[in-house]
Amino acid sequence: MPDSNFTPRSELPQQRSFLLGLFVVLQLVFLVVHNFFNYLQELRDDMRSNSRAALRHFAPDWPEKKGHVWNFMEGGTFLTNRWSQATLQLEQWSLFAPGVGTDCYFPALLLSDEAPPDAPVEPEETAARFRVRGKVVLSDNEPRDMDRYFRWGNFRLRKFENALFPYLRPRDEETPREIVERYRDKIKEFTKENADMLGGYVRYRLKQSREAQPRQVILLLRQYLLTGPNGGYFVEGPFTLPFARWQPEAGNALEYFDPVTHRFEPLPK
Amino acid sequence: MSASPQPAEPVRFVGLEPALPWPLAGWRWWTEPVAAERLAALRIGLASFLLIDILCTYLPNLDMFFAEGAGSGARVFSWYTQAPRWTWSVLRGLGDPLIGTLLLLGWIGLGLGIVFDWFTPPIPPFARGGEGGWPSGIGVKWRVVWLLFGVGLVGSSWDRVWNQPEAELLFWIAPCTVAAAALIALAVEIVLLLLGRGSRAALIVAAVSLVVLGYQLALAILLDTQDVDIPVLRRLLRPWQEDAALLHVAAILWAVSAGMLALGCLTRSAAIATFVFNTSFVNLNPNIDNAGDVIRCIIVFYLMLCPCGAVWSLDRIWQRIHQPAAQARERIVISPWALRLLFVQLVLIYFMNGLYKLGGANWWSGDSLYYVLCDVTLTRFSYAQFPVPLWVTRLATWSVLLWEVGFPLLVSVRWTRKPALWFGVLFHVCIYVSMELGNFVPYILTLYLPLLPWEKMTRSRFRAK
Repeated sequence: MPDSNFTPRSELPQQRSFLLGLFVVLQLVFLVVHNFFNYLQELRDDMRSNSRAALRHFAPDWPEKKGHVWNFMEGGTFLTNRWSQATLQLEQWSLFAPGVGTDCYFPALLLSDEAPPDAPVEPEETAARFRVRGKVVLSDNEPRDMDRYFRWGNFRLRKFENALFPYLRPRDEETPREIVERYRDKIKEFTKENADMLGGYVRYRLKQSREAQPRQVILLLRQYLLTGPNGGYFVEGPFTLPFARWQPEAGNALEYFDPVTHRFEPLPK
Repeated sequence: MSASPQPAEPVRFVGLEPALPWPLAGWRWWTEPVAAERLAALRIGLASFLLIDILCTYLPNLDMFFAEGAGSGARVFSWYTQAPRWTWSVLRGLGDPLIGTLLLLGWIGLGLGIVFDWFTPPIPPFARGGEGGWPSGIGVKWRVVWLLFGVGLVGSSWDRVWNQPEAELLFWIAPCTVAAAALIALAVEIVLLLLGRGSRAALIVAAVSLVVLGYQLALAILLDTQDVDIPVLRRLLRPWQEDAALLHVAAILWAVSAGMLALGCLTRSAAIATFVFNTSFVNLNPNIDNAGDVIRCIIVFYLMLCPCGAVWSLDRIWQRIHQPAAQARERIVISPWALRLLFVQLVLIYFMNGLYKLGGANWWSGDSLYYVLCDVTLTRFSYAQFPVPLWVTRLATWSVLLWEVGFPLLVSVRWTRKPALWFGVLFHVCIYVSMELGNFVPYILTLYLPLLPWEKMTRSRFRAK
């Protein structure tokens, strides 16, 4: 028996109900397609050969990014990417996944009134021991004592500062020479691509520190390594690597640090 | 002794009910109305946390995160709003190519809707539930929106003309086109009214549109011929991101709209404004947000589309004051579509996280949460202060992995649903205690709010009184 207390819903505008129904269905399709298609496309790159072979039985050319199935998925994600961007439903759900990082980066500024060195730092010195005398301004997010701290706030600052550096970690098979050469290329490329961001950060942070303008401001990367469950004390570091330099008297241009020559070099045009 | 039967409470359905196809139409979970209190709880929770977020994390660092010259700004993140991306921000100024494109598409789309409206026979009032007054679907609101799109389109064109010093001054082209369309609209509305098919309100809107756009055209001719500069207009049209004062104004408007949304004051408009400002700020700097902010943006998008101010709102109080006493006592229900889509979203959040984690060696070995608790960039306390035994972190790692991957199944089975959801709450509380992830935990727990039987709780309190 119908509920006499209930307002009949048949009075509601039918055209708008149809449109809303269509929206609900499309939204459901979006959620499923966007999440799973993106996941499968990312998975393809790391897929083992036996998995690829098995997959070829269903979608022969999919592992080679070809064929109807791949095109269908790519077309689908093209549309869902636009929709996710326009409505800000970004759907990136890989928190602490697939792996958990074992490096922790903090930026710091080294404010020095020393004249920029004419000669390079001695070649045998490691990057971690590069020294220019001056005052170090640490990030507000870096604990002053790794044994004892309480953190409240600054999470957006952490996110912002995490984006200031590329991922720098030695690979197992690399020689020391190969490591520094790879670091040099990465620092150079990253600094060139992000010169506005790095330069802006350095100048803003200097202003925020209320220190007098020095002759040179060096952006340092302070790296801590998590030793792992069998590694004794839980963290090692900081390992400090100069990353870029700003000389206020020379305008706004940044120089990148070359860990091979231990010099700051101008960015290529 | 048996209790006397309670008189049946009058029930009123608010909002639209979607016309769903099979199999959703036959699935009660998608079709049975739910108490409006559940949606209201979501609205209040989300908007309150957003307001706190704006006041505590965005406003104090506004210059650093968004302004030019502090490591952010339009130059640093210009790639983020460039084609083929559709990430838009009104704070990039009306002259921004994507904003200009969206204004043009909106203006053309609504214009076609109005033209279609003219040639469609009027729907009799009884077929529209006795609403009366409007002949068809494109009502006064959309005609006003069409006018606003037209005004915005002219502003977008002027900003581009001003930013091309070498180009010929052609301020008149956009207002001339838009005003010509408004003139045609006015003429058609007059004819329709004479034929007895139009409405006075539509005619008034068309006349106002012509006056506004005609004024813009006159101004454009002045700009073209007299080489006049209007600094205030130029400032308003330029990217607000490049103007510290206007950036602060926008942030304050964002906070005001979030506050209004929490209170349920002009709820629909507040939700739309919150969505626009939220999207505009988030798209200015993609380097400062985490998954919690993504969840926030998704919820705001849904709140804009559903009747989230039907209860527990100033709008409802206002309605009650102006309604007969019988209607004021009604229990309000809504269509569950928004809550269901958000639940599907919650399931996908956990399941996709679980899938990605399956690809990580640390998750299989059970060391992931050990590393997370040692991370000196985001933990609330040092691991040296609280050295959680390794077996505990291993057990927790595997439990989380199992729970995330199995979440769709766990919430599908009646017996495991509540334990799975309570596990989620506990998991997030532990994250909040151990890690500084901003508002990630409050925002994701907001998605759990509609799962609580708020209507029962409030009614039992009411009866107890």
